[in-house]
Amino acid sequence: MNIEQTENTAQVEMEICATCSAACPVHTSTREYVDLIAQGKYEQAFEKIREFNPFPTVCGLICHHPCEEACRRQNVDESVALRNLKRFAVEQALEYRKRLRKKAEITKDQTVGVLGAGPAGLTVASDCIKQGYAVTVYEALPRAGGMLACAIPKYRLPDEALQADIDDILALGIEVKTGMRVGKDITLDELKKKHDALVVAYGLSDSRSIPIENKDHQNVLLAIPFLRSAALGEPVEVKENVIVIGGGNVAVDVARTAARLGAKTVKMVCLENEEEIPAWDWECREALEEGISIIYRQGPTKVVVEKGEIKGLVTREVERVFDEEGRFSPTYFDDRLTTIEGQMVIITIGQMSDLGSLEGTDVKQDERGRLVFNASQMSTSDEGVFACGEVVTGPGSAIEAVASGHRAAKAVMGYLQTGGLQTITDEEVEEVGELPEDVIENVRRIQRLAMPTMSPEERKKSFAQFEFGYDEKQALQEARRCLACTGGAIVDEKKCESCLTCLRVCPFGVPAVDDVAVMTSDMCQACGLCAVECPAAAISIKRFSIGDVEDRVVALVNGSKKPVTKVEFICSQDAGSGQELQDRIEVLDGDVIAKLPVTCAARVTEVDMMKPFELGSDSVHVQQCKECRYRGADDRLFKRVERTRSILNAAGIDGNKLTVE
Amino acid sequence: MIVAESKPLAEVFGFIENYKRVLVLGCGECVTVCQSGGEKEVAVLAQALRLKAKTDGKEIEFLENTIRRQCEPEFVDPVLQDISDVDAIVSIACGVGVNFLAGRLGNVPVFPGVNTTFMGATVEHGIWAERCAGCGDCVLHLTGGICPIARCSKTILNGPCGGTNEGMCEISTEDNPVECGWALVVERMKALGTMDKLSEIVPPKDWSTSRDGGPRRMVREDLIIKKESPEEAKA
Repeated sequence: MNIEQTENTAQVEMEICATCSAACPVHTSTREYVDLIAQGKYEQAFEKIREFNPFPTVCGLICHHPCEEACRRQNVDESVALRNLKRFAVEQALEYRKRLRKKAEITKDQTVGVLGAGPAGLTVASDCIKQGYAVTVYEALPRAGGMLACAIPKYRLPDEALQADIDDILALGIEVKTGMRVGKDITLDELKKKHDALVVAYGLSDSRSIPIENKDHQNVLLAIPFLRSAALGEPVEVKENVIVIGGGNVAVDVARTAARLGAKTVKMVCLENEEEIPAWDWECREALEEGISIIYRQGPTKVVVEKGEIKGLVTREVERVFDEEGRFSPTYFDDRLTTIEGQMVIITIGQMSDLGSLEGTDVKQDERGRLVFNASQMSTSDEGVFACGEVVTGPGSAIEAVASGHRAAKAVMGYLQTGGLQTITDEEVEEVGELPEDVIENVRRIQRLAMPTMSPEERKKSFAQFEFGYDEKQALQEARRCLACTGGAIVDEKKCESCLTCLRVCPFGVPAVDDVAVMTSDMCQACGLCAVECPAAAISIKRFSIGDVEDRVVALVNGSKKPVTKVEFICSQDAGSGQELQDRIEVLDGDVIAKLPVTCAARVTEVDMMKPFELGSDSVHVQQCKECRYRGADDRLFKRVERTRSILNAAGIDGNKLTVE
Repeated sequence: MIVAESKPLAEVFGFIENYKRVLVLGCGECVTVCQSGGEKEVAVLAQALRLKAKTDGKEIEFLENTIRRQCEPEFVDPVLQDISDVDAIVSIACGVGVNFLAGRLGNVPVFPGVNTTFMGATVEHGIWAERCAGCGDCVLHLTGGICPIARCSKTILNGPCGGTNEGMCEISTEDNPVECGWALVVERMKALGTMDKLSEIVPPKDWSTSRDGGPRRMVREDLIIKKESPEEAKA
């Protein structure tokens, strides 16, 4: 999590979380992994992501990215493309992650059984085995992954992508029994005897239907079985004109899948209008691009069947979807009927769990057929049986299922350790405030990089992944758009002299100085200028170490096989590859050059510039980026270079050996 | 604050070139604020001295430290106890700090790394100017808060003199603009509507409170509790 721990004594200690992390259901430390990408440390970025989430590949492809919706960069131009960056980090770690795979050490006698191998179930399993509990996962389907495996179309989540995450999780030593349906192949009682705790993570594996005329016609399909067949590669025949009832994300998946399976026209019919439609706007946009039409504000009334064949769907116009209190309560104009032509209807109006296997057990259901569930303890009505994921949360996203899995794992392990139920409290975080107007004005506008994709015409021809992913240059460029919220200045109050230097040099007007300097996280852009200029060395930057440049110079120069003749400090803002972001030695025209990328050239201090000469280098060069994003930083750098030149002259070294450009 | 400026590198190096282990010691107060003696400057000077030692072929080790205030025994003594193995100290505190260290160091020499220049204020980031001469007999109540001692080049009490020129002192140059202190006094008194005060006859200034009376010392009897001698304590 992006937590800023204030180190001072007078300010009340508090944790401040970046909006992206706060919005993420598992509080992924977004700023940190984006920063690692920007530094070319892709494998570390991958590890940072996985610290919070065992499904990094899945989330890099299909996450509904609440982080992006919360990104403060939106107030400047557009949010940072965090999901695309996550995908990039994952793609750079394909081999690396395999090398990390190893079995967890089983240190506990108790074992955990997990019912369902979807994202929630596998998260519980992963968390528990990492803490030393042996875990067995029981999955009714022939493969692990749950809805990710059998309901998310391949053009969004290819098999191999999902499998990479699953392979990592299972490599911990989790036993998965696929094709094992509880209630049929094994009973709940048997499982209870076998394990010390059970977790029901069934998901929502069945589709709901609607009571309309001819709903049982063979060409009236339900969404989940339809998607499952398509995902598992079973033969699915679609008709020429397909009507999809529903306006959720699953409806969009169904419509786009039908189009890929050969339907000439696909029409989505939903109760809501364009603003109310529950599917994500980008999903709808992509569907529309692929030629799918969305018919808003129509409620299905009957499937028209003539001579045994479906001819269309009769709908009536919706008057309203929600009542005055915002509850779902649609009303219709009964006299405004429309017939939509089509030969196949797919109902996509919601999902439900198949809880048949729990009938007659102590895991009770309420009068509406839902699990009796204590959300604060993640417990069911049966002691030692817990639940998580969509079976208890209702329809949600993959990352929400992961979050639910983490909670259940805490509850299970608490129970196994104490024998009692634990109340699971979510980590409370204080979110960084809004970006103030005057800061927004000073932040340079940088266009968000669109994800390269296949043309709509191409992509609807197959189930091939239609988004290509960023290349390295694009990823670096996009990662550098991050405002590094909460990664900025921290004042050591014991050292601060209230000299006002920080206030006078900050490009964003962040510091306020009273008894000591106070850096407001809401405003700080983590450029580091204040820290470099502070005469008391009282400011550190959470995002990077100010003193590290000198240490890196020493390590690089002393580590070089050939004597270094020139040291170059290069602003990393223009780097187009990870190679350019590494400390390295290059030989050019007889010069042995030590190259050090720095987050901003204005971070290079007088000491940094002098050090290479002490180490034997003949010259030093500071290379700025093409367009500094921090107003006034270059002027500060030039002044510092001038001063260092005069010190060099005084020390008997030609000051002109230090150059800046 | 007390303002100081860095001494030329060669001069400082000349002080310590024959020592082997030298501590560069900063002060966390006035000289930090005027950017000449805080932790950052300690690092810059130490690095500059390392370079100079290298170019001059001398092997000298430079250590770095910064004390909160180099003019207080409680801050200074613990640091001095830890530096018994240094041969010399370069202090970049004001002259007070150097004096204070010299009085508490046995056979370790302490050298100034800065020239202590004046008591002054910040004009803008990077520019400081003298505002007080520490004469010990303040006349600011007579001159609208503008000090004729510190701000008049001649320290006269009945200015302005004939050298005033459109608000500037005759010693003023393009590189070193000096306002006429008395022109400032007059303008200020006009603004306050108290020009008549300048016509009042005042007794001659007592310069014995300034340097003329020798080294100065201030005693606040109300703050001093005399420590008992062991004999007195016994009785």
